[in-house]
Amino acid sequence: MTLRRIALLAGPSLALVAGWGLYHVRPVTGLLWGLGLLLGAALHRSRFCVAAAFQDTVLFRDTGPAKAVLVALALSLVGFGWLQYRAMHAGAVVPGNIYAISPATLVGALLFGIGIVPAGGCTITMVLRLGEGHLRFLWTLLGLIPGALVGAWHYGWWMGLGGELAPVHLPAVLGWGGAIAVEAALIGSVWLLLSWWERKGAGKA
Amino acid sequence: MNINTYVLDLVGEVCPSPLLRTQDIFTQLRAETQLVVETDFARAVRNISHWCGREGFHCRIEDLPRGTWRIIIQRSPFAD
Repeated sequence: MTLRRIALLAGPSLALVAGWGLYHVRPVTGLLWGLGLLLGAALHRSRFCVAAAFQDTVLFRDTGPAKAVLVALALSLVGFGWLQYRAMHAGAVVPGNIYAISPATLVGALLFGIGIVPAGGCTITMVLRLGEGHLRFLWTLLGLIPGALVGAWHYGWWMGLGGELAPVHLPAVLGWGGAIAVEAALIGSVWLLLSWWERKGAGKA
Repeated sequence: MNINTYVLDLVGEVCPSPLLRTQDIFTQLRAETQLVVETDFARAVRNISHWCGREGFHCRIEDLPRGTWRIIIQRSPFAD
């Protein structure tokens, strides 16, 4: 048996045994573990990469990864929309990342963007490549740990900067129909813009 | 036909470097020279083959053991 076959058998077997164990400790954790495995497999096989969404669009006029992110965004809007709709009707707290944006958001986005290029990707890519055995991403992991610590330690200072705009929950302002229309229009426009950008560069190396 | 080959070893390199270097080297090669790229970065395989398709180059991908790929790129169609 080759090393590759052993790895192909041992990896999934270990993951399933761990999932079975977790399920017996707490069923929800076991199911989430299974969901995580499926998500990981989908992300790995699809080569999904948020860094590539920006990098490949700008550098290579290749908008495939960016469109994949748009599809993921559209799917999560549908999923979260359903969860939020149910929560609103039940009078419960609306789930989801409904946060204020501020100048600190812009600085954070810029820092993140600068960071993911030399790091070779974001956290998802790092975990996927480490799983593949790409040792170079150990350096990214070594950077991520102190980075996350500094981020958590400094978070309060950024939050205190001020200048934030109050969080907006679109369905509360526009109603569900309006919110879905605005979001679909936004995603559709970015999709068309990307298609135009790729066509414009066709034939140029 | 005798085809010259230029081998570009990109094992260990991560995006966007593999495609940038492939583009850079391939455009410098003479028309009859084929470029053989070796990479262990899965995204680079997709990026390079996508680029070949768009530019009208011909490429062939070989899945090698130990998680590496060999991508053969040339301007003319493959003989077989």
